[in-house]
Amino acid sequence: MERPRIRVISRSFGQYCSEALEILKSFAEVDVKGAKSFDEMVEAVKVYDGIVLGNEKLDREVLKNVIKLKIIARHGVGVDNIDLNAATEKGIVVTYTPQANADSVAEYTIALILNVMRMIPKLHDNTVNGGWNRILGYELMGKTVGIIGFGGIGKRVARKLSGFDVKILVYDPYVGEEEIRKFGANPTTLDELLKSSDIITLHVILTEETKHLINSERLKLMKKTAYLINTSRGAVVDEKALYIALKEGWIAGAALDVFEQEPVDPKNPLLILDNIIVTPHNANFTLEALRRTDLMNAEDLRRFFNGERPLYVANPQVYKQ
Amino acid sequence: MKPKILTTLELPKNALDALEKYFIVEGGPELVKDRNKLLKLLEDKVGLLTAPHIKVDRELFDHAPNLMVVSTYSVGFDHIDVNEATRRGIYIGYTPGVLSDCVAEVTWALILSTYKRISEAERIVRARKWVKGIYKEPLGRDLKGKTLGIIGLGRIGRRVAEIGRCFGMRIVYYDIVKPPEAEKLDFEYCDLETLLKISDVVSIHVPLLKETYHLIDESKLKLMKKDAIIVNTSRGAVIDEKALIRALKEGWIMGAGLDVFEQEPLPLDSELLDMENVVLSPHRGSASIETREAMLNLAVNNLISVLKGQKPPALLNPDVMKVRPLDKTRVLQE
Repeated sequence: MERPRIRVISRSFGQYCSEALEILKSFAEVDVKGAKSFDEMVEAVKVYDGIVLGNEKLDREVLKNVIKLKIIARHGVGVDNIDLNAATEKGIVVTYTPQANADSVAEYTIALILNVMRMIPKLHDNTVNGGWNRILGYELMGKTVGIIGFGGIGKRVARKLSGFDVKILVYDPYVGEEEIRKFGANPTTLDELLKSSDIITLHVILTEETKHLINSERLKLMKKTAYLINTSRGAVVDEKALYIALKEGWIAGAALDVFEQEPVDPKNPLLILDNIIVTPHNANFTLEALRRTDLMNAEDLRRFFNGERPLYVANPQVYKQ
Repeated sequence: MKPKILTTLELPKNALDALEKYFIVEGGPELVKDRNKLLKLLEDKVGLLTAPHIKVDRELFDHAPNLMVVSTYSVGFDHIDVNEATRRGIYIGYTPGVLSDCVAEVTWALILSTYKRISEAERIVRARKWVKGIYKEPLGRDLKGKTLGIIGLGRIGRRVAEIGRCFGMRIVYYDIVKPPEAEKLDFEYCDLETLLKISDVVSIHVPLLKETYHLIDESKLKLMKKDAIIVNTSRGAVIDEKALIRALKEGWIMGAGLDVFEQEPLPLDSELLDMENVVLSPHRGSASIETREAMLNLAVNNLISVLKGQKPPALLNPDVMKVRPLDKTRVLQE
């Protein structure tokens, strides 16, 4: 049988994990080449049997041109850049890498919690600039952490926090109370969580329902001594309202890895505040997460071309056809 | 007349009130820079409430013929000549325990900040250098499944280890004495060399003693993995700082998170200040509001207890009771 042809469009695939590329090469002819324009994408779906896709758009217009393509391996946890229905209609299997970076994001979230409560980056800058200012920080021990959104990441945050002697509150209307209690956490309402938590961390996906979930009204419910952490999506928080809250002391501080606009606008007034930590959408990017993502893609492609069903299929309907 | 005590601390009102109920309290933070005055003032004092900013040595004792108790507002005691104090029948109170959680948290803040490279990422955003897409470099690392090596499994080391367990890490430790309950805790004991070879994160929790001075020197740093980090919230001189600077510059290890330094404040020409792969914090392991209060309460209680003729809650040199029994330290009535 002829060896399948695979095109690696994703720019990250294999960059930190040569092993993943080796796996592909063991059963396929592999071309590593990005595709920026519409025409390049069309060429890719015409010529190749499989594609490893980054966040490039793969819509119905492009998929119309499919000749040989049988599988798309999305290098990432979200598939919103792919028209899944169009792919399913064409009988194309779409795989992705769910939870590949869930631990990375959960660890980063706790890193931000500890760092913002003690303002470690500010201390670092102080020290570097010749200051020896021993600012008092707050302890996490004994505090209440409110987790909004209890999916894969929210649950991992709860588990990792269990070493710190904190009380954990959870708001997630889609997760059963019993499931929440299994993690040593207490289910509650959104208002109650906002009012009673010392640290609030967001782990929801961005939908119409969660857009500006944290707005000025809800920020006002929070304790004056509370911190807000966001490693989910920027638009879950109304940034303008957050700026006022931080400036006027409605809350003590915030740590943001995500912004309404990314890269963050250099003029964004949040960047000049003292009581905030800002990082460049970095929580999910770790060496290990990238390697896991690479290997999940590579193994699934190998399974597929071996005649097996891949483990992480984003459009399982395709197997019903 | 009330007996007299001396302090080198700036005391908040509630602590001062508690002490003034029993004593005439003299001194203050200005004594840190004026040793002659400090020594002079000690002559008629029965107690000294101080911190590691004062050397409590033979010279100091020579100037304090009435001194029965030194209470230090710290868990460390490398500034005190403990043997000499014991010989002279002077009780030493300190503040262990109350700051374990606090130091453990600062340790974890530094572990996460260094391994996830948060400070570096923060600087990129603040410097307006984040200009496209998702910023991948510096690429952080994941702790899950990695090995955490604890040097010194005392109270703080144990708390740090317990938290590491919740992050899904394998815990190994080295200590001069193997604590009997460590087996139960399911932490693996190994010698220092092995620990350094296999750990991804090395965290130091030993007191500074002759035996631990430069415990981590060039040869030890060379044993570590190239992508490992070292975190120190104990005492600066446990690490040979010159060797550490070389290790960081030449890539023997990936990074370091430091709250303590051989010389403090850190000299302004220290090469550490210009390194991207270190996270620095100005010796503030215990600097949380909650812990500061608890430490001060304990330090004040230690001092009052001894002078009431009672065993203090945290006595560093219990042998002193053989030299000067507690009924001889009572200058206060109940």
